Amino acid sequence: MTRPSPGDITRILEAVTAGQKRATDELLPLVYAELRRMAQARLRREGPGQTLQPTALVHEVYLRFFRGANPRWENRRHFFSAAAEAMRRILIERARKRARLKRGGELRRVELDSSTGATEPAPEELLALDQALGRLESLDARMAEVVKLRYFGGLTVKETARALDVAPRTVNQDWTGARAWLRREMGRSEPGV
Amino acid sequence: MDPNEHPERWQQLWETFHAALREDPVRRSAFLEQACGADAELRRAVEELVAAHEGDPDFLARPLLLERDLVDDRRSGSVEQVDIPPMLSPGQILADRFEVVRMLGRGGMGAVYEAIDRDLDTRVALKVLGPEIARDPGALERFRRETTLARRVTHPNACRIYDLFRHGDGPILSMELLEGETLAERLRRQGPMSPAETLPIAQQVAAGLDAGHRVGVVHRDVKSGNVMLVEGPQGERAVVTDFGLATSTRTAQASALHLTRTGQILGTPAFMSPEQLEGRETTPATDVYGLGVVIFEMLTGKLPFDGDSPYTVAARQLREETPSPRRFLPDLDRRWERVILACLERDAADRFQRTTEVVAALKGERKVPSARRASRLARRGVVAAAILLAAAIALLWPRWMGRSPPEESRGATAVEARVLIADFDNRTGDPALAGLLESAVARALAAAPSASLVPEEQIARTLRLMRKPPDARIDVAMGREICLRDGIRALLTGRIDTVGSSYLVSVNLVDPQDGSVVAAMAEEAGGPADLADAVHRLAARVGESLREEIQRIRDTQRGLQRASTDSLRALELHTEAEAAAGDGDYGVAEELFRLAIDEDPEFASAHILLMWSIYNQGRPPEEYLPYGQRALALADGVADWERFFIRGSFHQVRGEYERAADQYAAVLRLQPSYFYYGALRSLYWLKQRLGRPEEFVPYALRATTALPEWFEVHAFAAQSLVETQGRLGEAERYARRASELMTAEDLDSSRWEGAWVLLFPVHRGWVENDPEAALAELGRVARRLPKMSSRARVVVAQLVGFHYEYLGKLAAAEEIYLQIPDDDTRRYVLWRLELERREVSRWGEVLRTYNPPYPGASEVVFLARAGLAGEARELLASLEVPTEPNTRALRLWAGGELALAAGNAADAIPLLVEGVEALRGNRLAHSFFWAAGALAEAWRQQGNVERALEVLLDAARQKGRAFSGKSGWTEVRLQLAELYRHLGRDADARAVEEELRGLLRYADADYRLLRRLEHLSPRPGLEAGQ
Repeated sequence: MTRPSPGDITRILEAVTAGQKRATDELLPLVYAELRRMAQARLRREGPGQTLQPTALVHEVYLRFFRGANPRWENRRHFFSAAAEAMRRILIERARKRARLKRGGELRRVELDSSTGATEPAPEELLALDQALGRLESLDARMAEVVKLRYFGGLTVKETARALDVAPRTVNQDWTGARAWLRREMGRSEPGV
Repeated sequence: MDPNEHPERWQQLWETFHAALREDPVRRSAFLEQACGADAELRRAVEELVAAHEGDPDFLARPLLLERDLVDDRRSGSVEQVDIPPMLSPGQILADRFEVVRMLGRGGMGAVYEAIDRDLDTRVALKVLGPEIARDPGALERFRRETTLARRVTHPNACRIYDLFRHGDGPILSMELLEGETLAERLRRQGPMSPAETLPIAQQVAAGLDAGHRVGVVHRDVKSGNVMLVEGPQGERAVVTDFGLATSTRTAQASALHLTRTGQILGTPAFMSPEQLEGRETTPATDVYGLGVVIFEMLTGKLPFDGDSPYTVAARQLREETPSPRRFLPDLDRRWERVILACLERDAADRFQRTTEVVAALKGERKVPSARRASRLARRGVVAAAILLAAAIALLWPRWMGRSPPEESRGATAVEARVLIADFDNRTGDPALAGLLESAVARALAAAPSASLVPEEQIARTLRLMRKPPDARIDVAMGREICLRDGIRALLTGRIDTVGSSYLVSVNLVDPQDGSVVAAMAEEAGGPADLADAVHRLAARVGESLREEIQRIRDTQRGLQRASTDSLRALELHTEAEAAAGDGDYGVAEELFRLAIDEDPEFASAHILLMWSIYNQGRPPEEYLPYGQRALALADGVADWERFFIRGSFHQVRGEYERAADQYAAVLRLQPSYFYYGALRSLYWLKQRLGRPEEFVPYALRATTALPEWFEVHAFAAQSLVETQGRLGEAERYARRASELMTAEDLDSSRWEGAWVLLFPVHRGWVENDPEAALAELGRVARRLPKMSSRARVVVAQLVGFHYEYLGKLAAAEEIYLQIPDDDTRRYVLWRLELERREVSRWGEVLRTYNPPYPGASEVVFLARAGLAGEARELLASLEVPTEPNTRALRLWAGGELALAAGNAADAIPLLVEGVEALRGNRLAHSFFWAAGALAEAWRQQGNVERALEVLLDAARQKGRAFSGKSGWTEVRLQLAELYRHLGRDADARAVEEELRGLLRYADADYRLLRRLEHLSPRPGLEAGQ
């Protein structure tokens, strides 16, 4: 896959005037590819067994994309939406793969370094979250967007507020509400409940 | 509830939900009743959501982290190939010697292979380390050094390290080949172990670690993943692997701040000791901590402090009480519990010092180090003001501050310094950079233990007050204004410039009060790609310097003043409560403060004074701290002076004296207010405790202009001038003014200050070698005693009695003491008088008769000098918190005296040298003089007469500030005369003896110091004729 240049991004962004959804869709493949590439590069540099904060990555991609450019806030918003969505896809894709492997039991990772402290939910849980998030999106797009930006994109409340062009207070409320809603929703979908 | 059909219902749901969250939980049900009415569906939905919210507040709270296998999954064709440490293939020959057999595994340190050492015809393990070590010459060198050390560890329970050689890009280490599974794998596979299963493994791990410690290698990464369980002919063998390797990577060297610099996790935080997380020095006790965690994990399957980053673990270690393994395993033997908790002590000095001791203690063959918090004194409760008088004057605020704090439970968090980050000045012409750097710095700082960021909402609130839009650009000027309004102590400003093709990011830490730059730092980035790293590096440095500099940044004051309560009734109750507390009726005060809070639940001041009332009744922290916390929470809305006082109080009861002093000092920089005098007294007390009483003087002097009508502040000024510097002339001015202002009511309410003022002329007479004048003044004060209130009499009579003692008039002192209306106090001072009546050699008989209710270092010294070393040692061990500087000074002194009494002058000298210095300027002047006397004696015993003379002459010069403990001065002087005689310098001796004879010319004939003096030159007339 060819690397996007800042020019591509600007061109796409400038060309898209038809609203956020489309801009995000157009940007997505580019951001997705770039995120993956940079994640690999970074993790490679850090060595094995390491983790990386998505935020750092998203911001790095952002710097790369907009270097020398002068993005309008709409463009920033499109970028962050795309980045959070790309991140979500990367993570969900991996969770699917993991869940499959777990069931198949094919891969047994030998760990000398038994890192402790689960940093992320089990693949099944992440998939359940994603499904619930899909349902939330159909009910309240902004609440779902806040979750993507905060949880998958690692944005702070302030950054999220900037990206969505709403007050931080609104983001906070959406964030609190969405988490409660998702938690309840996931509790419901558990078998036997 | 589908918003697509009923958008208004969806909105109603969330409005009700957020409103319900804002309600006090106890009132929530009533609120929902009213808000939902008959709408059962709405109510159920809100209740479910609230339950979901409260049931799992951490749900999704942390953003997901990307883990390595995101890109390491080679099976997925969609992922690019990633290069990790060089891969070795079976059959490959390395260094003409090792034939690779197969890969065993891969972990944090690199990949491990089985190989055959052809030279020795044995199987070995090869560890291939990451190329990052090879690329960094410093790291390689460290690695080499560490492996050289680690090679010296030869023990069946430690994995042998053979050789280090290079292959391709990275270093390779050959090691003993161990076949089996790691302890971590075992635990995962089989679950927790019984104590019987745990003990042999723990014992072997401890032995392996100890073998390392004996050759000077600290493991630093003790964890279940680094323990291999190997089947052998004699059963299972536990082997510690990766000995000393942790150091050579940055893992153990870098502080937690560095660790997160790139958002990565190095090492295994959950097993890391506090000192590692803080980047401090590691010792064998560090491995004791790791061993404790491993034992904890073996038994419970859990880790004491879990977390995915060093910060989380560090934060938990700091904030949370170390959980007992019994929480997960209620049947666990108490001894085991104590041993494990002792391994996990925060302070390395409080743990076992060797790993083998841990196992001995598990088996009951060794004592567990006693937990520090259960000090005998603390349990005993309130230390009344009367005690500190032990020959001195307790000038503490008897109402609020009169009690030495009990050892608080460790691990509570402190209020952090708040930092405001201004919008950075972006001079690159690249608008993309706007906002990104600030948030990167913010994120790094958010995790820093020393600082907390000002919440967005608060900034928005203040901006609203400033009539600015919430997204207004916060430049330096606006940042300072926000800080000043909100009492934020530090402002972080920054700019980013382009320099050629690279970027320069610079950051200043600014004192908002005057705009001065407290610290400045910069990092360069080679290009946009390096920017993120540069910012992370910078943020780490900012975090560090914040920790160092924040103390230097002064507290700020806020112009806005708000009434702390709007309820008149609450204010009245508050006033009554305060009066009760002033009388020492803390129980009554507590009730009244509680009533005031009932009237106005937001009454910050009532909360903090309620805390003090409970505290002063000697009740435990869990009873009073919540009120302090509540007061802190309410303190955002109150006037500055009140807020600073609240914070100061909170820190003070938690034993955080430096911070408390800062806060009280801030109160004193403001206009005089309700808490001004309380803050002044507290500051006096704290500076004493901190061993820097001289720092109080400027505050005391300033207070005399702030509250010119208060006799107490003038008294304070005089007192601090006398005590810290012996500045008698200057002090006299303030003392006289205080005496003019003081009324009978004043003396009743401020007894200690009043008594001091009354006795000042006596002190002057004594200093000026004019016992007649001193006695005349004493008589005047003594005659007033019956007219004083009984509370005032308790205090004044003590001081009058002490001064009769200082002049050798013990009978007169006794007469005065008998007038003391308080039984405990009377008994105590009479007991002390009995000591004064005897030669030191006969002190034992008195010391055995009476147990002083609140013993201190002085009592230790009495016992030591009386030859009761065992009792003295026992008492010393039970004395309160050794970390408090003042207590530390007293302990040094007592320790030195003990050594001296045992005949170890050489051991006594270093203790006493330090003790004398620490006690110089201390209010308890007698301790200074006694310590100096002991030091001189120690030097003399060592044959160093010059030093002995020096010490005695120096101590004698402190006469002016000896308001208390004057007999200590007399003794030092006597010692000097004795030494002169001993040296044959009779003329010098005579001069000193003359002076003393003058001072004691009205003393009782059998006064022990007078007898000592006469013993020295029994008949002065005869001597003169020689």
